[in-house]
Amino acid sequence: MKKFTLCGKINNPETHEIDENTSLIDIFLKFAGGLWNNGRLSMVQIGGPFGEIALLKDLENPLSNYTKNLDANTILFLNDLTCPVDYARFCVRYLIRELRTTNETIEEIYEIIEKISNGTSKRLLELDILKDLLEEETTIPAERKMKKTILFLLNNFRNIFEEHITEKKCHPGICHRLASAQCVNACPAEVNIPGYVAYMVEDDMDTAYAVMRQANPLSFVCGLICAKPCESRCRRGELEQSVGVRALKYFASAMALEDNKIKEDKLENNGKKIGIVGSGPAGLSAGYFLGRSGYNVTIYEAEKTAGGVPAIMIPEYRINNDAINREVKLIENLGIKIKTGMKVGEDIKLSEIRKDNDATILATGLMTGIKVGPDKKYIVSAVDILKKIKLERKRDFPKKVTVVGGGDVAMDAARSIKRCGSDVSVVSLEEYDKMPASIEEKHGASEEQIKFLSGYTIKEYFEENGSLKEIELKKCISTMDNQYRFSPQYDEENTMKLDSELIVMAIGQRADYSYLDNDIKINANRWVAFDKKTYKTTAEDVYVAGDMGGYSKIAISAIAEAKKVAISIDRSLGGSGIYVGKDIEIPTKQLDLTTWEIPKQDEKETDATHRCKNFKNVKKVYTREEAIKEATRCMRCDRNSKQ
Amino acid sequence: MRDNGFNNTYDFEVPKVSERAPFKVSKKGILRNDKEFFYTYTKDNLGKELTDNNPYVKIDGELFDHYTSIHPGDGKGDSIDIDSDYIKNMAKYVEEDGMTPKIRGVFREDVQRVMKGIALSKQHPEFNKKLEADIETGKVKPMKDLNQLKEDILEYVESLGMIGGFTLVDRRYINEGHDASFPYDTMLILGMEMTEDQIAEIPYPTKDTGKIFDWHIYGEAGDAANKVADFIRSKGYKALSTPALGDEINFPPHAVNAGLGMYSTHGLLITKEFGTRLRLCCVTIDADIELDDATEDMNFEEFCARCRMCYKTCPVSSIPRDEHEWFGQFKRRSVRKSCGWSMATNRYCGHCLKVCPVNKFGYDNITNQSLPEYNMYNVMTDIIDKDKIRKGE
Repeated sequence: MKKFTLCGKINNPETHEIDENTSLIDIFLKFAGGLWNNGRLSMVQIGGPFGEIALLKDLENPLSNYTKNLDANTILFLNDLTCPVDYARFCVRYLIRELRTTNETIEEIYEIIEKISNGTSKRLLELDILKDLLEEETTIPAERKMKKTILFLLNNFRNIFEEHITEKKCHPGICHRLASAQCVNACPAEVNIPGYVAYMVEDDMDTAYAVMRQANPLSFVCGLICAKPCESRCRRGELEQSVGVRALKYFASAMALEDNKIKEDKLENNGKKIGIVGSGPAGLSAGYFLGRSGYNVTIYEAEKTAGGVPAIMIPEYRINNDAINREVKLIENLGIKIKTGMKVGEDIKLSEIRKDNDATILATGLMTGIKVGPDKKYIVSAVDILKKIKLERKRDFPKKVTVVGGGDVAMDAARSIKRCGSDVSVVSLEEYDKMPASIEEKHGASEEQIKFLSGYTIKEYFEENGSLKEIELKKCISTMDNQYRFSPQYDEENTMKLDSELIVMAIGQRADYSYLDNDIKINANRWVAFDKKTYKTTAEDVYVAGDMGGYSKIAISAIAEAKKVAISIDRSLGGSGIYVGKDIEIPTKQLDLTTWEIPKQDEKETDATHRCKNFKNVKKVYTREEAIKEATRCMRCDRNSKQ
Repeated sequence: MRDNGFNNTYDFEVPKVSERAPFKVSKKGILRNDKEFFYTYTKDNLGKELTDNNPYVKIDGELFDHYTSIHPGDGKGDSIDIDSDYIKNMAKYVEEDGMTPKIRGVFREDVQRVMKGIALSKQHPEFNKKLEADIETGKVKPMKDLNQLKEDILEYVESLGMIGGFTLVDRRYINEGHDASFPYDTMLILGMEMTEDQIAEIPYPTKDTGKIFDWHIYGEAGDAANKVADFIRSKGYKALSTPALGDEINFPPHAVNAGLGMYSTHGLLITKEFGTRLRLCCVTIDADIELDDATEDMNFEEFCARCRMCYKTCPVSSIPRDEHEWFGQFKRRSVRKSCGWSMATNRYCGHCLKVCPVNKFGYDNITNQSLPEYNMYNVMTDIIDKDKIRKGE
């Protein structure tokens, strides 16, 4: 037994008597009580700043493995927002500034790490120099320990170090000199959020919308349905409550799109032709960026309406087609042809499209719902149900419906079916607070009296006269292992029964590759194979964008990838970069000095008892006054980061 | 004597101070403020930014000992033309408006107190002479135990509602013509808090509290500094107080050296308890009291780099965004020319004080929540033994 101080962003940061045979994961769960907000662990460090580091895969090891040379009796739990480069920078600074130990080698190490962290490092070669320096022998004990720690980080996270140099990107946004602001860094499309918020403070919504469109042509759509990764990394949110970025975006786009006044310029037609399969966020965005740069773009859409998932799957109470059509129209105004009702593979062959065009983009997303269990009529996929509800206005459902899944699609399905008058239960493997669906969707669903059976899965189906009557559920003890890989564990004894007549499966979606030509290969993981940098598939003229490539799950990341695809196509067709409109200078007026006193303006929703009976939009727009107040809360981090 | 790392060779005779003085004047002489006009010296105030035992700033010792210019390089603040209206605008200090009906009366009272404090501190040399005579005749016996003296002084300082620490006078920061104000080398640097209520009512000082946040503390702190000097004399040691208002010496570097806090974005002192809400003054003492060390890294540098609200709120761009390398040192310093102008025209300004999140959320909240976890190692001085790491195995 030894006394250890547990630290980090954990729920119980206290000193405990800990038996050294306890495994690290037990210490994490029992003594530390997990991380704040159900955060994920990335590593554990034992014994002060230069102590031993245990990675996720080592968490089963007992504490005694790491306690041979303790500098201090501390155990630090690091969450998944840890950047090894910044950590290395901390280590060397600690040595120089706190331990007051320095020499030429240490200074040189510091210089290299500082350069990597602030984005001035240009060559990967520097990592080799750094490694050599770290491997140099030394007689100073503290220096030796520091080198050991940084060498460990470099060896284990070399890819992240390389990413800092080649792409100048720090994913958690900790290396703040690489990104213009944490929110911009968190946004896959890198929309200049502080930029448009600054224009909103000045009540100039049109320019604000123009700033958004430089990176995201579907800003209004995103204002309604975005998963808002930016808000969770808002700097102000780390101090108090985050700025309501999405609600601001919604307000500015709604104001700018009123009375169809937006006119966008584009480059002169360069005679090259691009074909795009699929008119979802990825297809539309790629079309927008290329169309604005002077390409002739044709988009083929199987459904009758353009817009993809937001138009055909996301329920009407979240987004209606009027909203989507406003921005689709802006894209059509650039001369982009959208051919709806043309299913590639049936109405037209992919090879024909390829023959007509200089380049083709595949952006058909993940539109096939995964189903498990027996092949019966009463088990349907959420994708099909949502499509029927939105496009065919299907409203008749059995009285008792069970939705399986814990993601946003499950919430959409549950809330939609609830609006058709059924009793809905949601069965998910995860506990309520660990369900992957966004908090607002979960909260909205529970407000609408949807029953959550969290931590269960279906064990058996009981039929009566060929139709479903009842299902038996079994308890799920844990869904993920220590390394956050999916591996559910069940308690077969702990069961319960639930009346149910229809099962809606919302447990994942797949891409449909049936229409692809033979020269487009599928890789071993059953995703279409493509180059991570150019987005080129195995066929020279075919590119892949959006969810279909398996790298994005939300609209905004599909839009971000589409822009990269557009850039890649433009480069390989000999263009000189895509055109996103004239440069817009961001105002740098002094901030309001009462900014801390302005409370967060909440996004308002309509009352739960009324809204769960119809498909009317549940969100209320900010008033102009509220929007400007909320915009004033922005700390404008872009002004003190990279410029 | 403490090793300050900058013991270069000097070839000038130093104005008589003490043998312990860590810095002497180089051939060209150290330029200091012009005492004639308080804003002319701001054109090229030249106090050097950094001192000996602060490990958090990179300095090239040799270059540093040459003379530096004040300008932090941002440039914008300097473009404001102040000469024409400056004095006229000063009148706005006491101009009333709907929100501050009491300001003129409060200002009048405060000014009297501040002036009284300054006048009193000017009489200290005479008090010291009297003390010398008293010691000779045996009337007063100097306290022998200097550690006890230090404890007693700090206790007394605390009872007056201030915080204090001991350091050496760094003579590079004394403005021209003011050497005589600092005949002794040990400095007790004192800080008095401008309370949160007073800061919260910016930009309408005196609205609720009936106090002008800076003038009130100028008066209080000057008063208290005189009391501390009296206290020290009563223990048998000569002492001189320097009031908070004045252009005799640059306080923040001394406060950083005495371990009160760290440099903030605008180059002023930032502390755990009070943020940037401290007004500093000092008492120099003729006794070799044990000096305090600079503090550990309180993570303010990392935090401020991600915040800089003061820089973004400053109406006259006086606060620089980045540090600037200048003659071998990285310095942060607000442009006093435009800052002073803003103080006059924006009714005591103070925007930078008001927006500092340390005031609003408290030190623990902001650093714990918003910085990567490992930065906490810096402040865990009670758990982590630095010597043990240094010695190893």
